[in-house]
Amino acid sequence: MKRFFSSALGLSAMSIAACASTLIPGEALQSPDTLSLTGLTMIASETNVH
Amino acid sequence: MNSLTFTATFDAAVYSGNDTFCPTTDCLIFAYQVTDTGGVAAGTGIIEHVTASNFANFSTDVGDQTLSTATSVFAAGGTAPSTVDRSLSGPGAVVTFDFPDATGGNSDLIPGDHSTVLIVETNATNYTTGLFSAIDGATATASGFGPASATPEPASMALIGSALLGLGLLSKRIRRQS
Repeated sequence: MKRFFSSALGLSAMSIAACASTLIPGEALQSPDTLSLTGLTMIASETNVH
Repeated sequence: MNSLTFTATFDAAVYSGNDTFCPTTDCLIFAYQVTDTGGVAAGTGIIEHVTASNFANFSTDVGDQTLSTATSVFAAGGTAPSTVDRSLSGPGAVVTFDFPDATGGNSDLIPGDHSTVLIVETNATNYTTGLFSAIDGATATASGFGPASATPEPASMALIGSALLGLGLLSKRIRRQS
């Protein structure tokens, strides 16, 4: 039982850590994350849109 | 994009790859860059907010990247947003990048400046036409890219249907045994 609660607590902590940098609906004035486009594949683009 | 106080252009792109929400599978990442091309009158032309939509019902991780070299779509460098936020209504339909409303500093988005690459990582796997706006009291809006809900494939529907059928038969058998 103790092991079960420990693993549940660990999973909860991991899920909180995974969501720490995400922006949920209603989230106000957070610092922007440092993100990167490196390694991604561009599939569509538009430039100089007026 | 023309408003009552400024003119602007923007560039946008959709990328596929691993992100915060999809570490092993491919999801979509939306990127935008706005260029403030001028003020309508002397002393005007600051862009305070840049918004992108519609991200309702999708997970988002919002931030930016300062490119060291230009790409085919985006310019290097630029003014970084000071904060980001997401609307409560929608729910969460609109993601906003905020720039300081102050002239003379390096952090405001004034005529001649462009933003850093504004990035929204999502758990979406399809994209569609979205809206992109620049705001300084007055608003200028243009069509951009946004996430689209995935339509279940026929094979997925068949799998879900057979699973439901199996569950139904299992519950019937349990009821008959008891």
